[in-house]
Amino acid sequence: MNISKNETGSVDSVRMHWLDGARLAAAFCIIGIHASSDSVGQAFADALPGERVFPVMLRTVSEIASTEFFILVSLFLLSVRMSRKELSYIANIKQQARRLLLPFVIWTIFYAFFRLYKAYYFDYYDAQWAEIVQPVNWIYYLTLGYSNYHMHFLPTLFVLILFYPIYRLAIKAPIVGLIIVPMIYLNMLSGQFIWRHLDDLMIIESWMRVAKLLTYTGYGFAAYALLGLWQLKIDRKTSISLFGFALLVLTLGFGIRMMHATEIIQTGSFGVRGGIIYMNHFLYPCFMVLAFLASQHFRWPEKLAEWSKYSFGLYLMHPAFLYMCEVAVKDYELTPTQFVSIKFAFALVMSLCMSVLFSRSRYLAWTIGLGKIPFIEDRPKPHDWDKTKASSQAITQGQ
Amino acid sequence: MNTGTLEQSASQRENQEPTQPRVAPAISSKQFLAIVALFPALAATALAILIHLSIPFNYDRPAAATTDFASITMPADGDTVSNELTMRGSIFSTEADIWLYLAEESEGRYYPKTMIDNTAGPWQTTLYSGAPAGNEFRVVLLGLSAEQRLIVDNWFQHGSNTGEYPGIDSFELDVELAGVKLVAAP
Repeated sequence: MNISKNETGSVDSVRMHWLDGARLAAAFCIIGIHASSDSVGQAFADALPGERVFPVMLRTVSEIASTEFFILVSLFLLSVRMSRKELSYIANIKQQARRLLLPFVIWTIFYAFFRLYKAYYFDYYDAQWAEIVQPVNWIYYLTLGYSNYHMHFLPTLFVLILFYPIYRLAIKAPIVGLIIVPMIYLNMLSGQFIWRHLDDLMIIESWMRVAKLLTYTGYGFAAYALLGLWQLKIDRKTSISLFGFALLVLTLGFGIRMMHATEIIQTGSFGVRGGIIYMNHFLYPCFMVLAFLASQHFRWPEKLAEWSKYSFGLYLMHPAFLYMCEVAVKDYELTPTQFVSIKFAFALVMSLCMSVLFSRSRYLAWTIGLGKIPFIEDRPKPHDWDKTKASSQAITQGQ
Repeated sequence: MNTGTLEQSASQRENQEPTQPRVAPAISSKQFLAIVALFPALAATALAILIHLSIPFNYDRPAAATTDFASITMPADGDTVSNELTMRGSIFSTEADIWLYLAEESEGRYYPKTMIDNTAGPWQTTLYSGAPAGNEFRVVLLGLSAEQRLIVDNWFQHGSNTGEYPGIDSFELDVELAGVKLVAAP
């Protein structure tokens, strides 16, 4: 691979605007995925195949930047940050715990109760309330992220971060990143094994999560391998070749996605992914990030950071607005296309507006990853205390 | 995302390179935002149009248990039934040159079972289903033209000659006067 430092002579060509673009794509696509189902999270089983085409296509297109893509982009960001700022392992983990787990707890409580709102209008309030008052369910909420369908992301990401020292191996030897392939295969096999041999649903889910966390470390290696590639400062020509390669693979992968989509249109069920469809779904994010990385020399807009900082807020808030929309249109006879279009537009606009509003409040901004945590991160740091203490001791001792 | 310094952007985090002449971005950040936000919907629309152009979907809905023309009152929609089932219903309105058949329907294929009298009023018959245990199937009342009746007659004739009854796939949904979805008992 040719290595050329800033061959084009343009500072923008090597800046990471592409990463901001990737973050935005991830946030909007995840809204698309979650907006594409009916109000019970299914593929419009009662609709005719022709009526399912748009919702299924919305899902298929949106899945090119799935949750796993979000995880990979997040791990890449983490790798960039950690490669620049040398902190001890404990200090890093403490910092990530504050920034990921504290918002997680807040949003877990919010969604556990907010789901009652939809449950009330869809006549399953009692069952939902019975779930909330069971203390054991709070264990699942706080460990597996079961308070809502998207909350698993934060604890998953935090656990993956714990392994970061071993991911570093992939910076010097990016080929290590290819371990993602057997890892995903192992994830598929372990899932099949667990479902085949266990009966209790929560035990199945727990073991599935263990298997997922261990095998998703493959994304950690992939992220650090991509950082290794990034650090090579690939020249424009090689970048374009790399972009073309990624695009080719993504196009082929999209063909496989379309095969799966056809099945969903015909059956009205999302079904279970297996074989090539499974492998394609979970390896796709790696080539997506590779494509974004390879687009580093493109003329990216410079102020993307102003918007990409809301991506976490978009991710966390959009399900609430999807629920609100589902309740609002409950009594209208809408086609699946109308239903998902309204949901997508409403959740997208509202979660973006709400993220902007949250970002302007000191007490709310931290819940969507912006700003310091009030009373914890904005108080004087320990070394400041030490200085204060030392100076007061000096005064006391008359020095 | 928020894994690093959450309030900072990716571009703010990377190494500061020495200042060089800048290349103007192709689009502004707001334009990019709009494109990325609308991309899933626009791409899905384009693909949906292509799919609709490639595949002629049928938008006729299967007939319900009760329509303006007829009803099936027993068994009820969604019931689990044995292979031998008693069927009841009513004919509300029909025309003289229409022949009524009770048929099983599965995956778009019709398996005619028995003829029903084309007279307004209640009807009852016993039907023997060939649906495998646990499978969903529909029982429908068909209103057939003389030409369509000939297809059914030929189908019965072909079945009795060969022992094979592959189902008729040439009927459109508009031949259905009433229908119920059933599940074959295990």
